[in-house]
Amino acid sequence: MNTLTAPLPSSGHGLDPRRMAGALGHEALGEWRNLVRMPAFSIPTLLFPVGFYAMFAIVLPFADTTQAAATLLVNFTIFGVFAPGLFAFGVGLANDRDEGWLRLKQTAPLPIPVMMIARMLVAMVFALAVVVALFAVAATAGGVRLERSAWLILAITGVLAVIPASAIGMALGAWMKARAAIAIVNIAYLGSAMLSGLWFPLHLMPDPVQSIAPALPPFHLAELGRHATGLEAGSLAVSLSWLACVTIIAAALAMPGLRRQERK
Amino acid sequence: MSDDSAVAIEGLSVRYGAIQALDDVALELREGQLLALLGPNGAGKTTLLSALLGLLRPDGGQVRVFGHRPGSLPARCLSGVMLQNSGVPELLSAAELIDQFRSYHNDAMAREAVIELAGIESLADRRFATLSGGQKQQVLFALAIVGRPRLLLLDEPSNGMDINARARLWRTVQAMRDEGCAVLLTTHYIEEADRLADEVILLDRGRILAQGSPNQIKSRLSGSEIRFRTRMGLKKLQTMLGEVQFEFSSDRCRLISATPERLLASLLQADPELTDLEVRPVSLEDALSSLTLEHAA
Repeated sequence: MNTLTAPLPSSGHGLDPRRMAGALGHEALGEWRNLVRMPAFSIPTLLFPVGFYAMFAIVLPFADTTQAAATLLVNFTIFGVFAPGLFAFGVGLANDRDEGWLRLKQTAPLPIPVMMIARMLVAMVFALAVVVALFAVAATAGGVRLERSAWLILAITGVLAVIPASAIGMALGAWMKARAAIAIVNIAYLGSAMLSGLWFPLHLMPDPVQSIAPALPPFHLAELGRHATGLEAGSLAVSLSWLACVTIIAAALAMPGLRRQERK
Repeated sequence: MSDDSAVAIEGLSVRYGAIQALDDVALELREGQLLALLGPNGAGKTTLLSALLGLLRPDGGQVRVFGHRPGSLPARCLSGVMLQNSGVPELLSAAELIDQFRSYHNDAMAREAVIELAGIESLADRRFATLSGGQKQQVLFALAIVGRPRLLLLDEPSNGMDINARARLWRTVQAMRDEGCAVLLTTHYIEEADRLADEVILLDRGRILAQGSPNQIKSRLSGSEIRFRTRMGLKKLQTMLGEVQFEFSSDRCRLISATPERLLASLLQADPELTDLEVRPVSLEDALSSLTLEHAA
């Protein structure tokens, strides 16, 4: 009996659905281990949003009204949950491409979308951790009072925000060199957060910034957060459709980058 | 194309800008056959593997893997691949990586079996980042065989491996070939090709220069290799050896002769003080380098 090489299959190739789920699980586990063992990723991902939130909402007297307290929580939740997907894809994928890991996987019978979904699921776990940490601080020291359903919807919004963040990260990571990616993804992250009014209220910003904000995904994610918490916000439909558009366009831009022919 | 063909390549051409990386290459690899692809850097070995994996689109010709398009899911299911410079998530252990790759296959080998076949018992729990170059190659080899492939593609597999690791690799590759796996191997170690390969293909500047069993290729360069040290000068050697090509530096001389007995007699007569004399059959390396030189001339 052959043990080292399998017989040629008479029909059917590829993983059966049960196996596919197993591959997704193993893929996610590998991604999870790789990220939690990388303090440069896991520590800033959790500590930055909580630290900045604590500074603005607790140390500095910006959370002086119930509304202001909720606004700060929404803003820093979106700031926090936008990072894991953006960085895991933007920097992680660029690294995988540069180092030949993606190429090796493209030769394995793992469908590449499974690899992408696994990475997104792990980013969602990180986003959930950010949400839990922020909510804990907000509900205690931050003095935020919300309906139970509002907490829940804000948390779900935070986890699902990983989808557009991942798509944008994928578009960047599929085309850029790893070294450039680190700088560009950071600029994109901090810049879009600032210009979306996550750090300072938009009405305090100069007019050009106020007109750019509605083009940026974090702005619309914050809009969803404001809806969830009963704050004043624009049209829910507009924000959802804009986020869907950005996600689809970014994913479409990433595809040719991933399939790019090998050239020396 | 025969029924037991694992890889069939016809008229394969690949250009990178002005450089013709592969020029009208044809080859067939059958099940249970071990083919070694040799050639200097830039000969087109890695390009050929990339075309076989569907990682690049050829400018001409046809490539089939068990009748499937290279890079297609059925082709990938049947292939085990080891590439040069594969970066792997460095914070994962060898065993974790093996489990991850096992999950990609319906019918993967048990983890312990893979670890043993790759000879990485003592490395399995170490993170990839802490391994030496040769040990990393062993782990990458383990990832190539987890799916019990029908076709094994190995790009310079033994690079950096120590003697024991290399011997283990060779044993496993031979065992797989004996079970009917088709193996395509590129290597810089000609000894590796000589020991393992049923067939050798010499690639140079994108073209197949020679093809045959190691013995067939060696027989193209009939004769023996002779090495010795002598006090004779270059001039005297030149007149003595006549047409015979030789290498000479300080007092060491190396040459290949079709009539070694006759040549030795005249050498010993000319220099009775001759030392460190060695005579041995030509190696595959000699045969290949003479073929490459012939081609360049």
